[in-house]
Amino acid sequence: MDFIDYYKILEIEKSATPDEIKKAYRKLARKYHPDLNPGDKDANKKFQSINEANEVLGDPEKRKKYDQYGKDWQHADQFEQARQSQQYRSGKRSQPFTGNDESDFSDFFESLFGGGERSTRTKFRGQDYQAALTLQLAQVLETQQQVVTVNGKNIRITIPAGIENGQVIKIKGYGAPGANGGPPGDLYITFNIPVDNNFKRKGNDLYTKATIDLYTALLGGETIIETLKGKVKLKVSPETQYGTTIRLKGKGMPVYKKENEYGDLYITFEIKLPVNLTAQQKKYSRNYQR
Amino acid sequence: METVQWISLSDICHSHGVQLTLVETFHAAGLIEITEADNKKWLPETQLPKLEQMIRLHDEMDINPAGIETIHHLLERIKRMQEQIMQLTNQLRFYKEE
Repeated sequence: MDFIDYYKILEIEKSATPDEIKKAYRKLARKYHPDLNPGDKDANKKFQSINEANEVLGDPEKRKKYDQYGKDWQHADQFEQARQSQQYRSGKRSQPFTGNDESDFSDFFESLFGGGERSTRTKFRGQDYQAALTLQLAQVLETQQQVVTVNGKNIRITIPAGIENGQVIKIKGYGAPGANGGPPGDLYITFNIPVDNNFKRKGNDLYTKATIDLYTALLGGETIIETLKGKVKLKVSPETQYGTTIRLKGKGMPVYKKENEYGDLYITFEIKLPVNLTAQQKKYSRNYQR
Repeated sequence: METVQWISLSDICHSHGVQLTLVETFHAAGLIEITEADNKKWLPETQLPKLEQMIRLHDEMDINPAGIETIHHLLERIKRMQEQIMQLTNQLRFYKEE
């Protein structure tokens, strides 16, 4: 395991006093605390490191062993036990600190729990987990169930139809377990829906293009277009201009959490001109031009 | 009609090791909703995560109730802005050249 420089993490010198360590930890904890940095994964990571550093350096015995063993400090028996008890905490929270000094803090816990280690009795809510799930546009046309794996655990979730790119859903109670009987955290899943090659989404409406030949545009007719749910036959009016847009009501995206409500599908016609005209076709075309 | 679950404030305070007066301060600042029934005070279950966050700010970062109120408003603003940014990003995707 790579050596982690806890002094560097807390931005202090190796000669820092316990007060300096406490001060440094509190300053950084305020900056990177998850409650003050919602959705910031880097801040969360940094907060975890800060807590870990404080757990070691904030305890004189652990600090001594860390200073003594350096990279191998974890092999010391007491460090191993301390790390195991650390893992029951609510995902990298350090012991709570108050504005009180050491004796007041101990008295407070004594009055509640009759003595004993202060960090082992307090209930902590589990850490929230953040996850991301990528879906294609066609996959959010209908409500579906999907199994996602978070931290090695399989969770079946229901993805409502019409969910948008960047939308976050919360699955209550599927975060990290709480400590000492505290409640588990929650799981937040952010949905990434990449841009579709053929359909552009604007809210609940979809926009696409359909190419028709010159003669269909001039004389009218029918054309087959692709929608997200399959092919649709479309009537083309005579003398349809390039760029004409028509609206198919209710053929867009389902409205999030509103059953049987849909946006619209807008189709813009592009006209493909004939190529490689024969001499005769050119002649006839010139006649029209006059 | 939606059912609202209520949690006893005394249970919350005991579980989190905080004084009732602290929670009442949050209520006085309009940050949480409390109701009284059967001579006890109750919090809607939906507001529990919000209250727990405030307790964490108080206990873990030594922030006073006035600071928590300010932070709460700022966090709400951040949340709205994040939602706006996401909406704008999605709208921008619509107009982006392929």
